[in-house]
Amino acid sequence: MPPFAIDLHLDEVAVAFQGDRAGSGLAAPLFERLRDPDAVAFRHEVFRDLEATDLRSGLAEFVARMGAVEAHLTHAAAIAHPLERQRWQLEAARTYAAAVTAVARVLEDATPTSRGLGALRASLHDHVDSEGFTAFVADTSRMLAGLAGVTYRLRIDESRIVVGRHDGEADYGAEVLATFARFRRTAAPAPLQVDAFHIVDMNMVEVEVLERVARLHPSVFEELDGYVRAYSAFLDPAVAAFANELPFYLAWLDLIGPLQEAGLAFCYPQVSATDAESRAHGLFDLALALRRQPPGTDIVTNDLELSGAERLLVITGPNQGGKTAFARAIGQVCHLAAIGVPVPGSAVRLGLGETVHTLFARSEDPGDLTGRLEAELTRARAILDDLRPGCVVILNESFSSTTVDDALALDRALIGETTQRGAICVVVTFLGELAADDPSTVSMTSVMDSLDPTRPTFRFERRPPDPLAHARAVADVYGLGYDAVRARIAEATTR
Amino acid sequence: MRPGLLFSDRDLDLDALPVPDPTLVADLGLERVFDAMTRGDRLLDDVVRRVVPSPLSRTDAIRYRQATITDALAYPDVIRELYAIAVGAIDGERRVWGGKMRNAELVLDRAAEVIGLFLASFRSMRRIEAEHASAFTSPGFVAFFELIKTQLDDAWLAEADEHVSRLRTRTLQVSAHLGVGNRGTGYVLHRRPNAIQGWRGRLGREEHRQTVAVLLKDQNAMNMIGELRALAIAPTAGAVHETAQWVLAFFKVLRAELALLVGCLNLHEALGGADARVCMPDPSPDQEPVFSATGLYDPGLRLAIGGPVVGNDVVADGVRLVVVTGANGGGKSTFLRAVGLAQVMSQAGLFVAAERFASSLHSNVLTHFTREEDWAMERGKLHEELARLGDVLDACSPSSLVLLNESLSSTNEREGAEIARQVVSALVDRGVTVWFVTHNHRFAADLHQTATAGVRFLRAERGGDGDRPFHITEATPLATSHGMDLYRRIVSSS
Repeated sequence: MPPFAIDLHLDEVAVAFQGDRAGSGLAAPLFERLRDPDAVAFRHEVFRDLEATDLRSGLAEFVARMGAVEAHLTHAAAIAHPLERQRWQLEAARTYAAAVTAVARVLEDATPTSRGLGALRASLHDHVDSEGFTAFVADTSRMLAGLAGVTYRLRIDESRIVVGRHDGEADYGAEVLATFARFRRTAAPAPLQVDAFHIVDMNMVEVEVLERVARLHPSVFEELDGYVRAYSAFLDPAVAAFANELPFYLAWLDLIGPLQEAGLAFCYPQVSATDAESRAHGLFDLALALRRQPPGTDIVTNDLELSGAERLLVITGPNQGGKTAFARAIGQVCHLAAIGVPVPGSAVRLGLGETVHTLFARSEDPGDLTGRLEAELTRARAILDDLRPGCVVILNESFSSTTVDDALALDRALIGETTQRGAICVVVTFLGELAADDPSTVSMTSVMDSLDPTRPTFRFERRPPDPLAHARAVADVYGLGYDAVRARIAEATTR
Repeated sequence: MRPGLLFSDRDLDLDALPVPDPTLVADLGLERVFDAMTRGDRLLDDVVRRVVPSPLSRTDAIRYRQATITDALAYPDVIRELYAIAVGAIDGERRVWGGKMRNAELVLDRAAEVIGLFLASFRSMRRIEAEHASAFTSPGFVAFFELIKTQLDDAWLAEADEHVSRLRTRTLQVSAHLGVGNRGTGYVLHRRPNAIQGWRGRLGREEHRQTVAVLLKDQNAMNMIGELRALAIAPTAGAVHETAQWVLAFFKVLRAELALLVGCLNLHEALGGADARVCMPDPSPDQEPVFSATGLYDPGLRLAIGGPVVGNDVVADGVRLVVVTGANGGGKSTFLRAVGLAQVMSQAGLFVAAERFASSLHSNVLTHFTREEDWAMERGKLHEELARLGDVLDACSPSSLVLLNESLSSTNEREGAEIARQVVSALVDRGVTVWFVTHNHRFAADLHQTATAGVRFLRAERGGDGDRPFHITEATPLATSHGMDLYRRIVSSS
């Protein structure tokens, strides 16, 4: 995972995105920027289709069933006994037939406008109507009906099982229940979880029983053998490929759904190759929003605007006031715009997407101050080497291990190099001096609660930094503000 | 099947009863009453502590339970024997090994054994029914014995016995069909045949071909047969286990209902047995307030001193506010406890500590007692006291009975009087019945001046002789409390 992804907490986003499918490679596309604007447009079209139509649940069902097909086939391959294996193969075939038939109907009823889903629709249309598939579906149903008709009776004692035909004896358990029915009450007792060895595969004795059941019903099992031979390769490669690509789209929509319900906006960013203007409303830190329980609660959004010559954004404010989260939100939106997914915010318009670079203090950095500074400078060097116009560089409290004067000088130098190369620089800092009054610089600073000036609102607005605001507010709360101290002195002297 | 001893229309469900208000228990001294009822028995305590403070809301429900308790008091030995049977059945079930087992065969074996045990208890109940049922007259007991006689008759017991022995046979006969992976599923148990006939020879050729046999010494294969048996028997095992749980639930309800009766027997004995001065009260369903008692006393005090205590006669019909003033140490608190306990026990369907007692029904009894050690006028105490009073009001409904004992004494008399006036008049205007023991003379005097017929003033007085240490009379508030008397007696004379 690239370093910027960890600094921007995109690793957390990826974990939430994958859910219980960790290790499936589902999240890999989250870190692969698309170079071609048309590839972004292709994904946007599919997302718009999924959001606009009711295709989503149908396609999710399809993906889930195709997953089951794969699981059944893998399972079957590991089973030695043909009577057991063949039934798993039949189960895979049944699931596949149902999946394909259902998804074809869903797509038939909808009118997808995206290139991606349009191709899927056309391909499935042909497949389902083909003679081969029709026969496959009919044979599968006939086979299942045959097996459903197989019943048998067991007499089991300590060491012997006699397998015979079932001739409709009554349910004895029901008789016992009937005798004691008079004790039934409205409130049922807690059900007992009876442990009945629900291992998926049969043990040897069960397999031997099955062989004797097959002897009672020879024709059904001969037919099963023939069926499995005839349909050893029922899986259509094109259908399987679609089933592999769809989860990316569905998982992203599942990820952002609860946040949208919580009132957070997502949009399709406009990415322009020529215009350097950056503009976004309602940005928020996606990882932070996902971490909240329930997701998306109490998330404050912020707006971003860099126009004309503006190249440098300086974010200032008290600690724990949301500076880093705001910077992350900017980094995330720049990165996600190049992935082709709906991004946090509304009316997002970005300059040509290039790599996002981050320079954050790292826990693995050396403990001693010189070592830390060296490590940070080494990373800064690497960023500058890789810098192209259109890149975004995020500096988070960089060089804070050295003196204020040093840090100011280093920051100014690094910012200068960055903006010179046509990159956009976002700086989170407590050094208000960095927000020089300069047409290329935008200063955004934390807005404090009007009732309790010690409390940040997590909102930022374009304003010169005010390093004294926080200190004043704390003084007021403790009655040490100018007026309060005067009043106290007056009170004490009159006494 | 419901025992129906405490309610005509439902079971005693302890979990459905409200958790008793600890303030009520402490203020009325209910703990002492509970102790007399339970004699330290945990099972009795679980029931008594929940049932006694849970008021019945209808007079017919109260009379139903009164009749059951009257029957119980007449035949204590029968009640104690029935209780022992219910306790024995439940203890027996717990002692059967494997209650936490989940293996289907063990579950089924255990359920069958438990049911067998319960059937023995049922036979004991049948014997008691045959010997004693005719003496009982309350609707609760008449219906209960009728249930034992008709629902647990000989034919049914025989049928149940047969199930128990059949369920414990080792040979299973089941049918099934094929499920996922061609594995057997949908197992249905059939009446068990006699054991499979002897090995070789007597097994037919075809049957032989269709037999899976394993060697007894092949532990692995034997385990596999065990797994298959468990699989086949699981649905039935669950159902039979559930059946045993239903019957267990019957015994648990029976035990809980009888536990209250045993508690009543114990309390009655502790209050003097045959000489106990108790009565079955006369609950009034009318809207118009009723409170009328003869020889009303605090049973807690009677239990504490182990001898008879003097009762008081009080009539407060037609009023929603009773103000009790009078000497410190004059027995005001004891009197208020007697009122509260009589109301609580009456609405639990119990006998009460009085020669005669009639009162309206209340949705609940709420208490706010200032303990004497809290009388100090401290500012912080007022905050705490007002918070507690707020809790009382949160639980209050228009038909509540609110007992206030020296409330609002944690502030000065004027503030206390003003707050008390506002609180009490609001309560009474909403239809709440309030008994207020107070030494706040300003409050009592103001009330007396403006009072309508809706207020009754009582005064507690110290008696001159030792036999009658205090008594309650109907009287207007006096200007001075007897605090100075006490001060002189306790402080100055020492």
